[in-house]
Formats: sequence, structure tokens, C-alpha cells
Amino acid sequence: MLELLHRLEDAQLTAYLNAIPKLSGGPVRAAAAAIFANDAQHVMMLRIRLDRPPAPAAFVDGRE
Amino acid sequence: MTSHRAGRLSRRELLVGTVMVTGGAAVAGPEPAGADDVGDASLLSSALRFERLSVLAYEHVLALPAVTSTARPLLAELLGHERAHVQVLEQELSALGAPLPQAPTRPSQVDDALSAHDMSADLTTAKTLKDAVQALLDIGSLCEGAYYTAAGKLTRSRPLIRVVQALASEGQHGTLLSRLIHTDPRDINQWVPAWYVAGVT
Repeated sequence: MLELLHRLEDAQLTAYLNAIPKLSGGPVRAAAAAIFANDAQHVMMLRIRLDRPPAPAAFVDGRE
Repeated sequence: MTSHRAGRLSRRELLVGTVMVTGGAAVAGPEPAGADDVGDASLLSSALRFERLSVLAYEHVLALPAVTSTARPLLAELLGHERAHVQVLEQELSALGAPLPQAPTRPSQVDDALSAHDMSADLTTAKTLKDAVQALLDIGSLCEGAYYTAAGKLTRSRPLIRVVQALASEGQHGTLLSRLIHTDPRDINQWVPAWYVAGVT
């Protein structure tokens, strides 16, 4: 189940990263970036529970 | 100082609020024809300033006797990330033809930046792991704030993507650092305090 959640969250990260550059500059894009970053924190917590390196990349892209 | 760490807004409220402000005109389609290199350089330079201070802070903390054998590998890894952030920001600034800001050289400059944002953590006098990590958390918040600001304002896609990725990385760092000093598993609200990562501006 945790593995499934991890893959879903990773897919969500990838989707956010594809979508954010398509947004106009402004508070919505900033908010999307802030939520992307929060999702990255979630993925990291799942990785910790799965006994994996928590934050293996300096630039998060959902493929860690 | 504006802190976005209060976390009192839900994600829905944050997004609905911003969409209402912008009238829903958030989807751009193609990148704007007139990229603002000067503006982008200013945003990236601000982030670079805080990232360089963050590198100084990590180097200073890693030299402290108070750093435990458990904390040391983690802090060393995060320092590697911060150095990678610095490198990419320098590359993006150079790609814009912008000069690089003068690099900080003293840990006291970290304290100056924290003090300027009304933060009470003190890097240079930190003796315990908890105090040292709090200083790292605070400088991390300033990095997050610079990235959050840049994420809303950058006009070029490539640095935008890197900034967003680095914001996420800083958010992860904040969680890992918080877990070092808030070790009770019930402290998850300390580890991930908000529904979004926007740091301090």
C-alpha cells in the first residue's frame, strides 16, 4: 500500500512539474509550486517508511 | 517579514483564494514573448544569496562538536544539495548574462540575514545540535521564501522549473532537519507544518 502511495505521489509530482510552467506568472503559479513542494515532503515521508533514502536528489522531479 | 509557515489555510482555500484574486486567468498557454531577463536575474540572485549563506551555515554546523554521529551524514548530504542549488543558480544567472553577486565569507553573515528577518536563531553562538539545526531551519526558510517568490514571477521556463524543484528540495530539508530535533513520532506537525511550502519573505 505504501509503495502504491509512493508511486501515486511521484506521478503527482511529475504532473505538477509539467503543469507549472504552463501557468501564467502570479499567485496561482506560486501556490502550485508551494503545493508541489509539500507533496515532495509527503513522498519523502513515504520513502522513510519504505526504508529508502529520504531525499536522494537536490532537484525534485518525481523520479527519485 | 511574512511567514508562510503558519499553515492555517487548507490547500483548497489557498488555491481558491488565488484563483478568485486572478479571475481564473491563470493558464498561460505559450511562454510570454517578452521574457524579463533583468527581473529574472534579480529573483535568481536573491535565491543565490540565501543558498550561499545556507552552504556557509551547513559548513559551520558540521564543524561543531555537538553534531552527533547520527546527524552528521544527513547534514553532509543536505550540504551537497545546497551546493548543487548554488551551482545551478550560478549557471542560470550566467545564462542570462547577469553578474554573480559577491559570495558571503563569514558565518556571521548568516546571522545578519536571520536578524534582518526577525529570526532569533544564532548560528555563530550555537553550541547544541538543537540550536544549530534551528539556524539551518531558519536560513532554509529564507531560501524557500526566495524560491516561492521566484516561482510566481520568473518569466523563463528553464529557471522556473529549477526553482520549483529547489523549493521542493528545501521543503524536504526542513522536514528532515525538524525530525532531528523533534524526535517524537507524534511531532509530525513539526516535521510537515503546513499544506504548502512558501518559507519566509
